[in-house]
Amino acid sequence: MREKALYLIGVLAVVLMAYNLAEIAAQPSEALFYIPLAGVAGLAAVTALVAGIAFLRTRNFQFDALAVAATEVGLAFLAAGIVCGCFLTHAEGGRWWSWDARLTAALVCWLLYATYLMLRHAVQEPSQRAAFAAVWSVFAFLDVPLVVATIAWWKPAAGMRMDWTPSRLLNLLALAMVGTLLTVVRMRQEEARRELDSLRRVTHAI
Amino acid sequence: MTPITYGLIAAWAILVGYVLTLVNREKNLRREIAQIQAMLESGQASASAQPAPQN
Repeated sequence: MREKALYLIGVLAVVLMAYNLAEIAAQPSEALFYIPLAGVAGLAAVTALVAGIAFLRTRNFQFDALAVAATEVGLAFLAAGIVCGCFLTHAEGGRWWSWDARLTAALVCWLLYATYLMLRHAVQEPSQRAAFAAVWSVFAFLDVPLVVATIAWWKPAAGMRMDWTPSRLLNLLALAMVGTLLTVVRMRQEEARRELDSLRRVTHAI
Repeated sequence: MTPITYGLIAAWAILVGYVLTLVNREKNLRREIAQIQAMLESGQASASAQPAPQN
């Protein structure tokens, strides 16, 4: 049942994106792909925050797996969004990076969440690793409202609308579906990895 | 092609790259599970081949 639901989400996402691409081809101003990408990264950050807090309260490792999966997927989406933003900056002013508030805030956010993954690699003991990572996830989330605020405060060049048009909302929905799919796959991998590690400990003990 | 289109292609390339790393991890996980299964099976086989202790 869960497998079928995942396949359905994947197919729906592809259909929505194909429909949206046709709309973008007809109206190129809608091609600001990085806005929905950043939106999905924001949703992933909220998921990681909720999962991190849930882990700290319950010590259930499924929440830890969800937090790491959401963080990793969010990082991939944010990286894609930042690269998209670089191309746009290049198109506007001929430079690939402009240190404007929006791109810089997004980069700082990306670095904070990348540190989360590095922290996980640095700590060996599973429950300590999950607890440290959950606390870091809560800390890193403090930057997310700042990124949203910079988007609202520092308006882009005239003629470039940053608001949520129906086409961008549709794109956000499709990308959120892709993100959900990837998060579930990554979460399963994390759970399998944890079971494998405990099995390995048992076999070494035998 | 416009620069925005190149940006779109670059963003998709990053996402596809991430999916490929997920596929690679899945392969590694399956391989490690098969190794541990083989280790456990060989351990069981050697345990059953040993004669039972006589009292």
